[in-house]
Amino acid sequence: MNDRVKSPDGEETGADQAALAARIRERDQAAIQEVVHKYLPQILRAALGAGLERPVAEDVTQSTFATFIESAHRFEGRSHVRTWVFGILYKKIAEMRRKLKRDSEIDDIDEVFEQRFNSGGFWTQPPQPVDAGVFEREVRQGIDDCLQEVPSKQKMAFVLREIEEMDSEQICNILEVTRTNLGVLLHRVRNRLRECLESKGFEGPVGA
Amino acid sequence: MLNCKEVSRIVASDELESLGMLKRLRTGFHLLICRQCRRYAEQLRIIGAAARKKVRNLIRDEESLARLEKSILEDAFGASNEKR
Repeated sequence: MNDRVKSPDGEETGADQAALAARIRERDQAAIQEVVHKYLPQILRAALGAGLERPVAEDVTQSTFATFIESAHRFEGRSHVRTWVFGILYKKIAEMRRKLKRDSEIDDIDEVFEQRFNSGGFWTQPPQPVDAGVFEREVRQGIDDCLQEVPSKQKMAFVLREIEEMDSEQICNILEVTRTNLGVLLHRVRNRLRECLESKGFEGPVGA
Repeated sequence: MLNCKEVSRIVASDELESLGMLKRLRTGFHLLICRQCRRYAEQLRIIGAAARKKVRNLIRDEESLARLEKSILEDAFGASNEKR
């Protein structure tokens, strides 16, 4: 029951993968059912992790798999099934956000980060000290709200790294970015979230 | 000597994994002596860990997973096929 949730990140051998890819291409019902069963919990979890509300996250999950099944005949098996499915999820989330209020190309978080340091690169506005337990509670309460402002690609980078715990190579394949690019995305999203959470203000005991 | 901005950037970009030995040591040393950078790194770590824990709890709901799965397969293959 638990291994459904944790699901190993594609331990199949190359031959297994090729065979599965062929069955998926033929829209073999059992193969598709297998993929849906295996990745559904991960996709739903990622959608929730991106800060979507439950009903929206379920809709996005459903439409991710609908697209997967519709386009199954085009699956060449060059990438892992998981990369393919998560790629679809990413596109759905980006599309949804574009409809709502488009991702802006201008990103002021780099500026915000810069301003925390002096010209010698030392902190002038260091992170505020906060008790770890208090901060954790703060994160749980505030993170969905803070994620709303984050552009889709950064959001997905965060979700795939922190929630799905994927390695850099997998994430780069899903988001179609270079390793350097991924670094920039992670840097931006983490700073954005940290700034947002910090600006909400911490209450409770303060420790160093 | 690395400065705080460089160390923070390395930490936030997950660059540590791809650094050469010397730079990795320098980054580690900086974190050892700099409380502010350590605090920064710790806060980023907590953000990730808390987000992970929160969502893991949210999907411990086998019933809604099963419902979702059924509805996806029914949409694709039709209800009659579902019980194969």
